[in-house]
Amino acid sequence: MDSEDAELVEGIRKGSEQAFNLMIDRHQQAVRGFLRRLLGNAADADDIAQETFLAAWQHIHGYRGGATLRSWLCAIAWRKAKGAQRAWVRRRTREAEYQADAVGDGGPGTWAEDCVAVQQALLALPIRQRAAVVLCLAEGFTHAEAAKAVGTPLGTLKSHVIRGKALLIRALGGDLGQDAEKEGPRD
Amino acid sequence: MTEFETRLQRAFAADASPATDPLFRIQVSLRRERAALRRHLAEALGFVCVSAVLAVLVLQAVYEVVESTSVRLLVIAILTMAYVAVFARRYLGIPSFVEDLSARVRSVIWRH
Repeated sequence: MDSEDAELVEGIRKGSEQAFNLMIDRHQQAVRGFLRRLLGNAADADDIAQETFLAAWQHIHGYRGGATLRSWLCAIAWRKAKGAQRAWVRRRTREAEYQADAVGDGGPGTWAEDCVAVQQALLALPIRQRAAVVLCLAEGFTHAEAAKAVGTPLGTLKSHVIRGKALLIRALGGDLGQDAEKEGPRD
Repeated sequence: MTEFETRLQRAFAADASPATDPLFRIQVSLRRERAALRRHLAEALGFVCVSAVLAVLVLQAVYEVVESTSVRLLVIAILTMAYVAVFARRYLGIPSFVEDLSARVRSVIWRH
């Protein structure tokens, strides 16, 4: 945990709303980005992100400092997202179909087409693997941070990321093995 | 980085959340206020329920004290009144009778 986060945690423990607001400003992008890609729905993701920060405020005394603050927040978000999984699993299929229709005639390889292809490929992954891929590839977490957030052994998480990346590359029309081989250690 | 990796990064960057979002912070604050209000209401409701039960017990205890002069029941009655006074002060803003009484007793003892 860096010193700025340590100060924020100390402030929140003392009941400082200013410290809490600073924590939100500092980490909302990572938490919301993680949830948006995990759930494939911005409204649901923001709802859970708000619940995540509320839970962080209520349970800040339980934060031991073993993980980084953003990793701890994403761990809360991950648990909440898993809990809410049933509600959005049906909706996401309809939305993916709608997105595919909305892109229209962009043609293969366009920016919009890539976004939809990546989103659909992400949503096709098992949720634990999706979480690992999103944290490491989209949010810039180290493997160790992501493993703590998702509660997965480090080796399993690395495997999830490598395979997930290969599937995403394939969704973009690339070779399954070619890019996956280049995923180096990033602990 | 291969072409496909670049495209993958570009696709991830496309739907990134905003770096700062005051509205989101306000929404979290609102949610926190609502949660605090709900907790406060639940505590107040719990207090009302416990108070109702205790009121019945106190009435019974007072009645039995009058009837049998039982010291045990007198203690229960005093403790219950103290409990009600403390929580009434906390939730309803009523000055604590027990605290006022103890302050007066202390001042009388101090003077003598």
